[in-house]
Amino acid sequence: MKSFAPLKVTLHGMDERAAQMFTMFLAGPARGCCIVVPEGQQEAVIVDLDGVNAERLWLDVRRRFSGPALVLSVREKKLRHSIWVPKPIRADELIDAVERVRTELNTLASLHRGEALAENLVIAGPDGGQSDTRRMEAVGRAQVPPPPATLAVQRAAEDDGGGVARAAELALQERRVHECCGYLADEVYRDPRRRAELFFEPDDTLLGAMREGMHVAKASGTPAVVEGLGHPLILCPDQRRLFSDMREQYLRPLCTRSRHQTPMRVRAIPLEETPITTSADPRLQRLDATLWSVALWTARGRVPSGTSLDAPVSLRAWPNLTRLQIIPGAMQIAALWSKQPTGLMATAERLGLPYRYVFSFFTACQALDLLDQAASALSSAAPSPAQAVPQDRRSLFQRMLNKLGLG
Amino acid sequence: MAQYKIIFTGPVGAGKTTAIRTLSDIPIVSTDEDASDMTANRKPQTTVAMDYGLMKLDGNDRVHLYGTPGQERFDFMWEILTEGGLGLVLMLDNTRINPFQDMSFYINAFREFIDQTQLVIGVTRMDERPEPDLSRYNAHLASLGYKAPIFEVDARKKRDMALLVQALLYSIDPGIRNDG
Repeated sequence: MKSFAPLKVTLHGMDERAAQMFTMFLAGPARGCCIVVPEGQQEAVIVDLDGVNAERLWLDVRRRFSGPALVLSVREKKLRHSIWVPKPIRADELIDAVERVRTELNTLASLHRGEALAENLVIAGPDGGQSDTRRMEAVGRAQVPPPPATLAVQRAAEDDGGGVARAAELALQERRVHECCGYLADEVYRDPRRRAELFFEPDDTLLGAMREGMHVAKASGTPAVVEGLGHPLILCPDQRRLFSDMREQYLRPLCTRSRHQTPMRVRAIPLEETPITTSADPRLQRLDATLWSVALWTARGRVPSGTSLDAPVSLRAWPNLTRLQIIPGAMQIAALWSKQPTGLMATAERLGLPYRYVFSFFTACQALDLLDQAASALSSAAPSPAQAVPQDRRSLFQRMLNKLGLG
Repeated sequence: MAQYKIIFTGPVGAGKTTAIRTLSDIPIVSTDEDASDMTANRKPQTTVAMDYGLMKLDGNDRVHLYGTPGQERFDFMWEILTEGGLGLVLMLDNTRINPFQDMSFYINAFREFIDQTQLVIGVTRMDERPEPDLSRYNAHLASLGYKAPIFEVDARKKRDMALLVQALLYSIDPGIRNDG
């Protein structure tokens, strides 16, 4: 497993006893993701903001340190350049927050060195996305290449007022989209000669191995393990849990490899062989969330082979989008497929979304068994005409979405 | 200046007041009183008339957030509150004895309003009690003749509540675009 040096932090807003307890928590359940260091050596600060003088404490901390902060509180805190970790603190949430800080620090360092501007912050060229396709071909789907940053990222990076942090945030968001939706340009989807690029063979991937594992577990009534990945992946579908000490940085690249490149074995295991753990153990993950992410990282803008591109797709139930990785357009696609069955190609065209978003969302929903697809484009009833939404109402909704601040 | 509203409903303690507080741009107006009946078993105070919050939008438009009282004896308020609403946010508490009974009750109570608008459901406290899971909620909702977004939420988290309201808006109009 890839290992990282612990993030160097200082603790604020805690008395001596609380600080000692928290230090033990960092070393134990939080698996040493952070190490407490003397003031001046920290990369980030951890601030408990539930005390009586929270506002003064925050100002005091910010006066002395302007880098990333992890804010601990019962209620959500929206503070500049900080990440909220809700109380009661869960080890997995803290570890995720620390990883976000680490990613942000890395991106910032890269931007400061000017490397990002030189290599990544390239405005899309006049080739209309062909460079995306070449990049995809070049890597042979073995490894996800670094994403090209957009104009928005470049503008944010060039902006003076805190723009670097905003650029880092945007670059991180864009990288996540690319990891889930790939790079294929819309032209590829419309070109019948390049149709093969839109499909993948799920049985030849980690996604297929996980699905096989779930079948094995259900048939045997015991957990199943996927072996051959370096670290075991134990599936417990009855508890809707997955046990693994592989984190995203390790798991994601495995999704881009075929089972020929990384031979994987699946077998049922007796309950006695499963690790004894507690619900707070970060190695115990939600099966649905991991399966969903694995499906997105595998799909990268593609769908399983044999999928009809035109037969209407309908959503049996909405994915639990508050607890799953969200890609752009997910809400719109879910709403459309919930109201009116629509083919993959038609969905992208109707909603004005890149095809790769629709294809990745389809693959993820299918992994969680949330979809129905008609046998052919002609086998379902003609779509009902969409209800016209008054323009003033649509304008209101757009402003509400902007206000809610999520894409 | 146009005025719109979203209605939050659900049983006592499901997180309606918290959800409105999370989304509101103003300190919420709440009519909580000390509970004097069985409600006290779930929370010391309960909403007796309504909660009120406000989202301020560009262009001076306002979206009013109304929370219904959780207790059934105040249901005469519900019809008044829903008039002209954009949609219904139903908050359910997974630690209650029978959350499906709650779902049936509130959907039947607001059926006319839901049929004219849209419904989304947020299920709270699933971290405390993961059963029943959302697949059972979806199945129960289907048995009532509806399909709607059902999300696991923490009413204190802005992201969770924002996603739930987003789902409501997209359910009304999947064609809207977010420029933000």
